[in-house]
Amino acid sequence: MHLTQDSVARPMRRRQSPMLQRLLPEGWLTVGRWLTLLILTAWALFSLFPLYWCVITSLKLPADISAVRPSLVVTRFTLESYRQFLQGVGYSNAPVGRWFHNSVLVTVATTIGVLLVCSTAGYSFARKRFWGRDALFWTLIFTMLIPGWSTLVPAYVLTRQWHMHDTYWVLILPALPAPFGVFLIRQFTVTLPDELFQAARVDGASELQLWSRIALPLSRPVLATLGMFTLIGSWNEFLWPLLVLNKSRMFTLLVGASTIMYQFRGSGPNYGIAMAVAVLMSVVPVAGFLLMQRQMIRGLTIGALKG
Amino acid sequence: MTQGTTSQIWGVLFVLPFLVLFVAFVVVPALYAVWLSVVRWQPLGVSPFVGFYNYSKMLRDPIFWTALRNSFVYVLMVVPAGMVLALFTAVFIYSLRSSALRQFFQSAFYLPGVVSALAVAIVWRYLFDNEIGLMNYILALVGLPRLNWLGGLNTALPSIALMSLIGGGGGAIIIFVAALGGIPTELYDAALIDGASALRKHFSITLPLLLPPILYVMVMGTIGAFQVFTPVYVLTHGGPLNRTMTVSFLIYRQIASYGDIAPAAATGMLLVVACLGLTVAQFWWFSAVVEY
Repeated sequence: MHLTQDSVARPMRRRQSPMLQRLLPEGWLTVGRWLTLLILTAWALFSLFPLYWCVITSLKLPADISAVRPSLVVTRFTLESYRQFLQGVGYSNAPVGRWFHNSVLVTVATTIGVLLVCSTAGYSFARKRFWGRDALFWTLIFTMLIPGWSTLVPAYVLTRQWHMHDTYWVLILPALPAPFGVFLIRQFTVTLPDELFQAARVDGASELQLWSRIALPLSRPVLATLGMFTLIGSWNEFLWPLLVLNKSRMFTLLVGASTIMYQFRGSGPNYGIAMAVAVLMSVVPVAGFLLMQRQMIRGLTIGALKG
Repeated sequence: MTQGTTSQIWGVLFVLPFLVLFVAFVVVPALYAVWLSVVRWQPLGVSPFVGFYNYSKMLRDPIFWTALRNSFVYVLMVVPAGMVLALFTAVFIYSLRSSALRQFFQSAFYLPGVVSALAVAIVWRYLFDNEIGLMNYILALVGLPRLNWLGGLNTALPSIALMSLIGGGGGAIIIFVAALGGIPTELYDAALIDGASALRKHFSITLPLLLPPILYVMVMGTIGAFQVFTPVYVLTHGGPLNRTMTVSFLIYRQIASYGDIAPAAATGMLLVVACLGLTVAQFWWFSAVVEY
């Protein structure tokens, strides 16, 4: 080791993590470790507080919700708010069950569709050669930089002319060509060893089988990641369904829920129901994320660092 | 070679589903958007070409400039602060020794972003409530007067910004943590030998090497913040006297309330121009700052 002033004067430091040594000022190390944890925990709690507040409010009695001094913990527990929402109390028989059904259907269909469409395209960009392949790929990636609003108005008009409003297709189809999906899959597929495909070819596999029997099974991790991102994204879609759905029975859960917030605008929302709604619409994304945190986090970094 | 040609054909076949959908729902609308913005659109019959009429109508409308200004101000409120917060958080997370803890915190910070913006906005509608909201309760606890968060002319837009800053940034944090992991440790060793102070180390090594991810987060963050919609729709619907009217909400209102398709298309094009302008400006500024 080099005989710098550091290592001579404070030999104990070498036992500490090399990362800490490089990132925090020299004098802070021991205190620094606990301080870091404390600050991080505090900030994390602060960031997550609105979610916590939402959940406990949804479980409070209406009297406790409008109390002048709101309490941070639930002392009296009730599911009244959920019951009221699901039974359509106070907002004229909205088809809540139908909204759930629509959201589930659209989300599942979109996820499967995206996986199919992007896995084929990604595979092709990775392993097949055709004229203009790379130019096309990078152009596709470049379009991710263009704000989505540029296509919103015309897509609205076109889908109306094609009589697609108030159908499921208008929610599913436009979401299928996702450049991010193709990007993820292509970046993954190029890492698959060539020999596997050559061997399969020798064994007489057809082109379709090369994709379905070799590439696809090996791509399970990236497919799962993409699937989860798509699932969450599709479930959380708000603006587009808001624009193209007009019939109450075709609303997705989010759009329907927003109309409830609306109904109460004059007198102020019934916050218990509002919180219950927020919780219900968050169950799917949160559950999905918790299931696949590791993969999703990795998926995010691939997208950013290589881009 | 036959195999080569078959492979080529299959190559195209495999890309076809994606391409067809992409052309139908991205390319065609994009081109149509340009056309829509230069005609007076009629639902039935022929839409006559009107040149730049829609654009000049928008550019002469004060509401457009209000919306543009509000969108810019919102970006300024959210992006720099959000990035600094995310960067600091990422450095703290990165300095943790246990990778399980690092994973835990990254997930914890990303979680608020997984929940729909609508749900978050609904919660904050409650938090910002004038009478029974927690925010005013906290103010009262420390003896400050209550604020009309969402209804106040000067507090409406900052309230939405505040909502974004708390609990936002999860994705940026993850990207920064990953980027920090990519910095070769030899650089820090060399700095240690040269006796660099912690601050110097950060300015000369960490920051320059983090510039690409910082640029990425800044650009994506700006584009996203500029198009903010859901919180505006839920919390203020354009705000007290248009104080929270953003460009995206303006477009929405043009379509949904007035059926003004052509002006909406023109506004959309202007929004794209503004976003591209911001992006280019950021790239430029960055290349001026980066030394090598």
